[in-house]
Amino acid sequence: MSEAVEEKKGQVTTYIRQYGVLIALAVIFVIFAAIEPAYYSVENILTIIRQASIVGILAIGLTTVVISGEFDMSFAAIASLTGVLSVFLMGRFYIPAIPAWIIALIAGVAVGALNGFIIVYLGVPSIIETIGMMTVLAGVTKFITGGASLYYATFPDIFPVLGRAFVFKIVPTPVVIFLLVIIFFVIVLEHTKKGRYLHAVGGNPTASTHVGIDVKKIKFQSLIFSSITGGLGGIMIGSLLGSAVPGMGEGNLIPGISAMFLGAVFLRDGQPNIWGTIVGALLLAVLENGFVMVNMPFFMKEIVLGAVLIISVTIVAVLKKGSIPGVKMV
Amino acid sequence: MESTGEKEVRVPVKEAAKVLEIKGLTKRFPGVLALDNVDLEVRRGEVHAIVGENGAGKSTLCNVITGLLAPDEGEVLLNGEKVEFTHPAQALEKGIRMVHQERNLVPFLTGAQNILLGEEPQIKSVLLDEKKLLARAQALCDELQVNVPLNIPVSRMSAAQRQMIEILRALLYKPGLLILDEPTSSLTEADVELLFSTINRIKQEGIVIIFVSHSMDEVFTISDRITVFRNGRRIVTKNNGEMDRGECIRHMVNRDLSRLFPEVKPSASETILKLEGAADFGFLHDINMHIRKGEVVGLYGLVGSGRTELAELLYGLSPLRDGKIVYEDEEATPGIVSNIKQKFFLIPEDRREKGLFQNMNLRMNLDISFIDRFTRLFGVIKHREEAALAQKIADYKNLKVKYTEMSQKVDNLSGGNQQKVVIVRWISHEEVKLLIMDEPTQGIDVGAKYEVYTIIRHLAEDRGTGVLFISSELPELIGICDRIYVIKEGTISGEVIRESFDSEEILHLALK
Repeated sequence: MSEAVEEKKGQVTTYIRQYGVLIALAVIFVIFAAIEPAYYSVENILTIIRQASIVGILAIGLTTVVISGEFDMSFAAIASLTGVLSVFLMGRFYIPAIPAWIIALIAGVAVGALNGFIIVYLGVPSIIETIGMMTVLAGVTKFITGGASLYYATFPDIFPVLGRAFVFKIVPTPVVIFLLVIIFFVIVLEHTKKGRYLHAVGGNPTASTHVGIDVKKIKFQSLIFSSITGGLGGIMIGSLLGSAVPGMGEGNLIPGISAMFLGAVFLRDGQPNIWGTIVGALLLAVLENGFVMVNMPFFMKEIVLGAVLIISVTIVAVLKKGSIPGVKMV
Repeated sequence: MESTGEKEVRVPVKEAAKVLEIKGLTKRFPGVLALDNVDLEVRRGEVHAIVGENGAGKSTLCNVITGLLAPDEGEVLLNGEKVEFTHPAQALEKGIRMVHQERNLVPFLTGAQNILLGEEPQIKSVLLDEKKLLARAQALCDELQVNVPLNIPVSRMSAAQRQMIEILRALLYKPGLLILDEPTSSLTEADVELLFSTINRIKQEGIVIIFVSHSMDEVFTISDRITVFRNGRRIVTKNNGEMDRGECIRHMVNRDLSRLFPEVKPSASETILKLEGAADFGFLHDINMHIRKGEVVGLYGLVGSGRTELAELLYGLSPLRDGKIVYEDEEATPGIVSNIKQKFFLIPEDRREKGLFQNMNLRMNLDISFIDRFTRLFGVIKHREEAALAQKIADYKNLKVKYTEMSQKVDNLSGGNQQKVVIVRWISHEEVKLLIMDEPTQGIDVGAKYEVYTIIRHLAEDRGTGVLFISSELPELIGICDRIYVIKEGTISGEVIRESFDSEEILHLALK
């Protein structure tokens, strides 16, 4: 093959590798729309984005942690904690919504700080520590609810705003919050010193130290970030469900991790990044929503979601011929 | 895996049989012609050196010979027989072994286990026979008269010992052809001598050795014939003795580098750093030394003597147990952030591991130490200002970083240019009062080395910087330093001034 053709081929495969997930997103959307026309109504699209929002928010926090070179398995459990706590405070103690949300968020950040302290200052590997924390939180949420799911009759008026209300009558609030979170993180990660340092620390902690960056502080802060997004997601779920269910955040753990991996593997050849995570979250939501629309049996959802993750990584591996882009993480 | 060579008496090089013959070898990569119609022959009983600048095609050639890459054109003949490797295992089968520049060892396995990696003896094909494994490794060591620990994990060995383990692994089954790629880049003089005696010993067994190196001294010491590559072409092959260093370098760079080192103009003034009775919590003790402004001070020592530990102590990366460090007449407790504020910088060894951010592009690698200059309120980055600043840094007058564009990944730069990135990141600050450089010329070619030496002298002579130049290459220290400290077993064993520089004496001070 001549040099020019080879180069072109290289460019095309790179293109597919980088934008593949976006292409997949469009293709899947079109397929579902063809099967069920209601799929591509404005309403449904917003529903899809709303479904993607909570996972997306959680996954963005996770992405930040992974960029800095650590991992966080506890973000979904933090969501459970804040969800349960906020609903519990409002329903049982009639605490008004905003204070309840603030208290819940503080609890979430406290967990993040604890994670940060144990991981960064005591030196425990982050995967292990956050799995441990996740388990502890599972117990804690059960403790709060006494083991059962709690449903309350009266809630503050403002309560459903986060989960069920609409801005401008049609845009679900979660979507707006998602957009705000995206804007915030994109600005911080790509356009501020803090973001630059997060990338540096994840890329080469030794070189970062030599340049005068406080590696521990940065990693600690990244874990705080993910506990904030986790906590935010949790209170949104609480507002959506209207009840305190001990495992209410857990369902987002695998989708959140998957969204991050999809984004990393596709868009930047293994480097976790915000845009990729967003597209990954949307892809997963498109699939989920589509399953409901076409009445796919309930068990298929997990099979397909798992398969999507495996297949997408395989495609990248095949295209890259021999080297599977390992997502950079501790 | 039988050897393709037999025990033989040394045969005069001219009449020796061709073990490896390469004809018309060509290899293209997107945008680069790595090998251009290369002809080469390597004869029985010789040590054949291959030299050339980075990018000249040496690694590509080795990769083709060892089966890692398939050529686009041309053929390879082994002992007269044409070979076409599609997989490195095939080359291994034919008795071709290579010791790479980067270590390919499993850190937590022992020396013996690494040597026998892939060839482990088993009991009844199921269980590993550790006793036999150790015995086999020991036998090999005895045969080659090499002394390395076999029973400790390689992660705890010195660079020289790890090097030896890799060579032993390559020699396990008497290869016909052994390729050594930059085998001495992490070794000191004494280690190199040991390596060379091993090479001579295996040469007498009939094993043919291809020796790829940037070190002129070593090439001219050990090789029988020398081949020069430049821009993918074989330029010339001559017997050692028919070509002198100058001619060799001229072929390599195609320009006259009649001197390897820039001129040294003494320009020392007052003392900027002083250590008095300094000790760390490790094995450094009784360190007394001083560095003056405008002076290039060398630090030489064998592997394990404490060079990098001293750099870390000086820079505040490890705490002071005893004694004091005086910076600009004030007793100081160095710490990275305060050092940087006071224009005291460190360029660490091992640029890939400690200096470069592989996940960030060239621009970010260049400007990271200046980040406050292009960020505003809340740390927001002004990209246009960043781009302008990065451009200024890359254009630092004495340093030409060769790159395609600022947004490229640093991985794609040559070793020499990567090193320049790490250097210019610091020296482009307006003031550089004190600079520690740890092995700044490791793994870069002759041309780039000269540029680094020029920079170092420029810093001292034109900018009044005090430079501590740590190196395991005595010639370059002798070439451009004003003074050299010798470190041995954790303490300074001697100090030599330029007028009295003598290789043997310095080496003597360094040896146990």
